Amino acid sequence: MLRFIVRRLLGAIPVLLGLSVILFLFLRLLPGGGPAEAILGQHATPELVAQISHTQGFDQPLYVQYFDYIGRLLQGDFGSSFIDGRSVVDSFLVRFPGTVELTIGALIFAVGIGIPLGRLAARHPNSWLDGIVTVISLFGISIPVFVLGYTMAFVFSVQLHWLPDVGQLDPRLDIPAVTHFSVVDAILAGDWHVVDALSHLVLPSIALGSIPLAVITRITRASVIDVSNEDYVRTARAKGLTDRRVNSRHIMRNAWLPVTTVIGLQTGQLLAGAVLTETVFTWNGVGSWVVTSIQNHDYVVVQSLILIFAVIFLTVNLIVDVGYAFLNPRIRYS
Amino acid sequence: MTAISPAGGADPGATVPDRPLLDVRGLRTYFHVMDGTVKAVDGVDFSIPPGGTVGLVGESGCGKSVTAHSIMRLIDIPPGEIAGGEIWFDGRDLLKLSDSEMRHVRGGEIAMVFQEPMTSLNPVFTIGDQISEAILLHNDVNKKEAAERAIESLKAVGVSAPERRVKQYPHELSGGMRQRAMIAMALSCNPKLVIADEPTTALDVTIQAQILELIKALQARTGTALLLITHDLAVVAETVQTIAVMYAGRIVEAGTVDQVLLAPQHPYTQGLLNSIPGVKKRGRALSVIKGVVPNPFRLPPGCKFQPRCPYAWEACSASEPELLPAPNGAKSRCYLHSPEGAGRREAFEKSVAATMESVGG
Repeated sequence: MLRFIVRRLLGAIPVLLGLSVILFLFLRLLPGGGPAEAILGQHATPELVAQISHTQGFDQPLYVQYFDYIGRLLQGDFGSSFIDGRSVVDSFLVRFPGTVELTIGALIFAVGIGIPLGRLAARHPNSWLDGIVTVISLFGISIPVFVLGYTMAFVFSVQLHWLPDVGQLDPRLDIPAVTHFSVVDAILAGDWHVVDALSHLVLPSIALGSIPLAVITRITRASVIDVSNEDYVRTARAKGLTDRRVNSRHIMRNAWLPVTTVIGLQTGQLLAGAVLTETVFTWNGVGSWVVTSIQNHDYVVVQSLILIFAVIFLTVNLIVDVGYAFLNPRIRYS
Repeated sequence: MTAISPAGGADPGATVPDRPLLDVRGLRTYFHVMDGTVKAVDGVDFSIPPGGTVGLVGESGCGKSVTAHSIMRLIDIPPGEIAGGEIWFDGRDLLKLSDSEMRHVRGGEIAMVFQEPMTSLNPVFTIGDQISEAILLHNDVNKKEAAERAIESLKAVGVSAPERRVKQYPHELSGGMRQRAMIAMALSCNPKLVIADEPTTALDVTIQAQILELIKALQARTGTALLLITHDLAVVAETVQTIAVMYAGRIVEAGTVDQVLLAPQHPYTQGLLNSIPGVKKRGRALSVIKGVVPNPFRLPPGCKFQPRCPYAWEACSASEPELLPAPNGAKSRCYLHSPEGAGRREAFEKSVAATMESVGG
């Protein structure tokens, strides 16, 4: 297992190197002149362009620029924003916790509801129950996140006042940002402020989790039906096991395998930031950051974030693959 | 098929000496699907005495596996339905038991060995886990004792190094080993009846012989009754005492191995024997039964074999024959054995003699 992990980590190096080349060239090959023009916009004075080109090293030969870029990356320097001058790493550490919390919330919603729904549908295939579950999941997959988000915000916050509609914490509570995880910070602040943090998470988690919910429900249903028809399920029944035990042990242990893969893929996507959800609920995560950075031509930030997302994706996939080996004895990474 | 009537379930534990262990009467299992109703099993009768061995033979789709699954009540309802009949086992009608009573019978009193050892074992649990699961369920033992019994049962089926095998997963074993593990699982709770559904079909020929020998030896040693389901006449010839031949959901011929295989009384059985390759047939085209298995949605009128039967006459399509006693003591569902068929019997018997000659006895 350790060898497998090491091999996978080594395998990630060429992927990241290749990506770094593409990202490096992407900034240099932007239309409208050189990278300095792209960053400064078409109304920049030639003097300013020359100055930026010089300070950023854009006037050096490409290979010198690239090795310079890689050298800085290896030292953990992902560059700084042109807009506020803050380093990408610092801003990331402030914003990523919000994305992680939202991801966890969305996953709890999607997995917690999707798997029972999928199992329910699979137990009565082609029944009216199955039909309802299919409609729910089609709804989840086809309704745009911003429509669902604004509708829920309107109903549950504006009309009913049950839940807050924007932000991560009530600013009036004045909770100090220690870890930037709003729930953790709220717990540290005491006074049951955690309830406020959790209530802020509910609507964005549902909005963000609606698509994963649909996907997980469908995959769980298909997988359970598939496994139910396997010969070994008949063997288990022939042993005299109760339906309950056949379901929970013999069917689910096998049905989990494709579901795990899907949950892993969804997690990777969610961690890369939920642009729409974060925008709708004014959530301070990496998703909204990517959007503002693109709008502001803050290409160094965009470039670094894509690389960071790639690292996150590779890590999540590795974790899923390792978890897979524990679920499926036929896979032994040796 | 049998005149002995069961004791009405008054004392389920006791074994009455002359009472059959399993007595299937008029079993009818139907499947209601989109295109209509398939009468997969339509009036099957047979019985197995305690410790007896019966072979259920027929080609794919004749209803032999459905019969086995009906006995175990493993038919999915819906689309399946056990539309009629009785299955008396050890003094109880299995079709009248509650689900929880039936679960005690399954695995505990009647165990099953399936065809495909590769897919019939759960890939994510160890062999030991899967065997001890049944032991724990049907016996008052703790996990450690169950694990020990799992090792013992593997040893009994000739698995080498059983202490190591119990920790292995199905994919780590060969096909023959897996089938031995399946048999160990079936026998681990000392069932009164083992139903083996094509236990050797998926195996290599050499392994087939080994597994058959093993089944025979274990059957003799434990005194367990055996219902062997197969399409392979050679397999039943070596393993069982009596044979029932099925065609289109019915038993068409039943008798001892010698009666059925040496002097078949039904044209279908003769056709099956005729299509066995033999030394004396070398160089000649293999004979086949003309026509195809009837469409289950549109079974022919009268005898179901009549459209393919070389001896059929008007009576055969007019009504379906009963399972009638044949001259050699076996039973055959064929009008050749009725008084009206006497005229055609000679031609049939001549043809059977030629068949037996070519098969080589």
